[in-house]
Amino acid sequence: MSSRPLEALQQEEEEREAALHAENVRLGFWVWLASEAVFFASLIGVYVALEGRSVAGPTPTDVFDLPVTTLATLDLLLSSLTMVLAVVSMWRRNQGAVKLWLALTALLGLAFLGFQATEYSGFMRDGLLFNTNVFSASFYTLTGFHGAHVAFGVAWIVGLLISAFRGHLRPEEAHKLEVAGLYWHFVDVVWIVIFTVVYVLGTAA
Amino acid sequence: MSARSEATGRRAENEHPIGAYVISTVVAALLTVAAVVLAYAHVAIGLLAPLLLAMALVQIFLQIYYLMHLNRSPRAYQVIFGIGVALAVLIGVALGVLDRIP
Amino acid sequence: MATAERALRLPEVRTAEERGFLSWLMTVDHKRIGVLYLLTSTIMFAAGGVEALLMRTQLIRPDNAFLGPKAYDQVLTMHGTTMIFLAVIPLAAAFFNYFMPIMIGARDVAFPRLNALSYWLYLAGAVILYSSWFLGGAPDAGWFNYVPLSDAFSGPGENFYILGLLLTGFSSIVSAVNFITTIINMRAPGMSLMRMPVFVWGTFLWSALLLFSAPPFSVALILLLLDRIAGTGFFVPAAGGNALMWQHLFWIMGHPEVYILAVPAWGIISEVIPAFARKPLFGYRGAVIALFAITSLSFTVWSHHMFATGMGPVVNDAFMVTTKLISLPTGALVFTWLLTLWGGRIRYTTAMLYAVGFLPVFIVGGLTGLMLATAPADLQLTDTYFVVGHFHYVAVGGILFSMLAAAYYWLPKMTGKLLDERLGKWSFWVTFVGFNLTFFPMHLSGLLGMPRRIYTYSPLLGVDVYNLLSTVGAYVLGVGLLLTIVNVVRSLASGRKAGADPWDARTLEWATPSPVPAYNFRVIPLVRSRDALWYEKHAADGDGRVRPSEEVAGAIHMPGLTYLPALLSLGLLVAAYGVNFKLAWLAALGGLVAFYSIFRQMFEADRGYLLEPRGESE
Repeated sequence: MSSRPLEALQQEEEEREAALHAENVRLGFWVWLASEAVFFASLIGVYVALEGRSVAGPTPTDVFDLPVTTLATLDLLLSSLTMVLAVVSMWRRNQGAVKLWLALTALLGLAFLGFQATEYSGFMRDGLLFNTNVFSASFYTLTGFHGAHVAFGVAWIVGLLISAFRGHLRPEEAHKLEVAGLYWHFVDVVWIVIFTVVYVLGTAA
Repeated sequence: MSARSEATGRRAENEHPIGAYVISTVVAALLTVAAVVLAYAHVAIGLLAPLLLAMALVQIFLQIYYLMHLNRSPRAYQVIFGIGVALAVLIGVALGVLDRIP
Repeated sequence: MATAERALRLPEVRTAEERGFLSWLMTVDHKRIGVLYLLTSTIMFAAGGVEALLMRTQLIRPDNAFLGPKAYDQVLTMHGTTMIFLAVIPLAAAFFNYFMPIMIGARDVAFPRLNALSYWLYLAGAVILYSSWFLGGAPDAGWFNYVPLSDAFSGPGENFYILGLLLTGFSSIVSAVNFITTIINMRAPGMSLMRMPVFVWGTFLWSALLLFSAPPFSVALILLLLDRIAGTGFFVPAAGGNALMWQHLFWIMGHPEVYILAVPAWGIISEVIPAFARKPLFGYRGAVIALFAITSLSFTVWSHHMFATGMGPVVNDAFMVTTKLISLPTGALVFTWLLTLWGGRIRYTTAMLYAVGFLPVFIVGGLTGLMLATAPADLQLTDTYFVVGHFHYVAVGGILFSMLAAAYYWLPKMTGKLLDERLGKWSFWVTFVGFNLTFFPMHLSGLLGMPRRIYTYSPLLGVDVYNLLSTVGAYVLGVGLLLTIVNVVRSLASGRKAGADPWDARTLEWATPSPVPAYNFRVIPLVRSRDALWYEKHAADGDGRVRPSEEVAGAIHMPGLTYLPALLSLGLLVAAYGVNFKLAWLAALGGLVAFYSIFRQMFEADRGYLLEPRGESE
């Protein structure tokens, strides 16, 4: 049937399958993110379309606290850097560094969520509830969906961290970390657009 | 398939000077702060716009750079994402603009 | 359970896949998922058909009182929503699921578990939509669900529409990611992109369309849900919102949607016509380019559904131009089919009859589309039965006919049994006559001014006879479709064995046994040409069989069965009911179940099992 022993063939087949799977996961994730880009674009488009149309209640300039939001932006920017360092450490097969950078990324992500919680509660105190006007509705919906993505990302990174500690995150499975990195950077890109369009332009207007 | 990803993997390892990441992150952060200070000071939008644009672009390019290099996969993958982004811009702009056209 | 020791163990070896009832809940086999899609979408199609007959019965004569306006609006809405989201998209997904991986020489899709998830999400969406009949009334604002018809002050049914379509939309995105990845990464050696069957290109572009059009619609649905349950005013002009924004978001999905329905149809026609004309598809490269052009342009035409909303001449003109442009590649496609027929040795099997019957009616639908795309004419024609006639020529004549062609062409491969050709030909002629009798008169009643979406009409309008003809036609069409169902049931009970290649066809699926074994190919094939099987049957250096691309490696590694996709979708179903009835605990419970299944799935290694094929190699 074959010149080589069956075991070797089977082994080769397994490796080929694993490589193909990793490649599928990478591509699939790019494709999924393309769809997510359109999702967030629609939310941002809705925000822009309704900008300045509120008939009552606080407006963006009444409530935005730009310095704090800037800190949150820098926090998220920094978390992208730590995520890159985690992935690079994975390629360099330095498991200790992977755990460190992952933990830092998760903490920075949590800090961002903490910022968002503070911001929301401040806005609510200023009388800007979810259904106060179309600004509040489109603002909370847009940033809420972004925040939910950050929260999911934090949960994901914590999950990866746990599997790293249990020794399940082997260097051959770098793609698991890479797609988490892709996701994290994507969420960051979305925030940069939100920060520019909603916060900075909203304050400058 | 596996030979290719091994090759790109090796290349990625060599081409990832961590210093570049740190520096570019710092530059993006500085630009952000500058843009925000101007916006906060209610500087006229005409003066602010170029800086704002630079801030957003540097940050986005930084992220995209991460996105591309983090991912040891063929360029073609990113094309699909690019199409998504292009469409995203089209839809975002259309929604914002359409009913303001006479 | 997932201890390191267990994870490192080699997968177990089996000699057969599981076949019991529970295995259908846990299956990840693209073919069995395809069968689930086919069964569910057929049932949904029947439901949509019954709704259509109810409407036609109400409209059989003027001032009829068979259905009141309330019931009519619900039946109207459910008919459109069912046919588009619950019948035709999943029907396409059924054939894509079953045949696309085989046609590219793969053993399964890239993400078998996500594939199961797509199906279960679709089923959950269908359950939500149809449960509305028993939980306070079905949605009644039309399949387009315009505000203010669907705003916070309208009936309870719209919530089911919103939640159901959110789930089916999610299902579509998951399918799209899966199919795109499969087609790019999983092709057999030698299957270059330009050797892929046009049907596979259809799968690819269908996926791209869904991938990019479902998210804006999901956003629209979410915002409308918030308007209805959280008191926001996104679409409420008095609160500063914008009612037209719903229409924009809806049609950004809604027009690509037309091509989401049509691209699978074109893919099927591009397989059936060459097979029975015994010629390669004329102008393959041109057909692929045309499909790409249509896909891209379809995202730039959505506002032609809104000419009458007062967007102004600039916007109207721009969308009119893009819409007219799209007819050029569509016309090119029609010529590839006509010129494939030209000079072919045509065999008029039932599948071929449906494919050839598709051509004239699709052309009629396309031409009336051009009339409607002309903004000044549209102002006259919009919201009349002319529009109903137009899109049913595309949707029933174009799309349903091609799905029926696909059924007669591919069911023998799926079941291993042939359908009765005599009964099949009867079904074609009855369906064809019934179809034209139903929908042609609608053009005339529309031109005479009969408005659509209204439960009755006045005898003074002079459209009585056209409506009578339409209603009679609808019942004839129903009989024609029933004949196909009878044919399938008879074939399952006592059909003749189909054999591997009953049509002397061209593509790789016909190189596998009928029905196709779980692993598709004993050995992954080597593709040497477009129309891979046909090439091997006629190659000078071939033996009529597709060549293997590798040495035989013994047992085949199969993905393991799992209940997680079904559980995830159950969680979302429960959460959706929680949102609908404003029961926070129920929503949270469903959310938790969903979250658990997602994370379980993300961090659980699937070892799968090794399948030792019994008996002969192919």
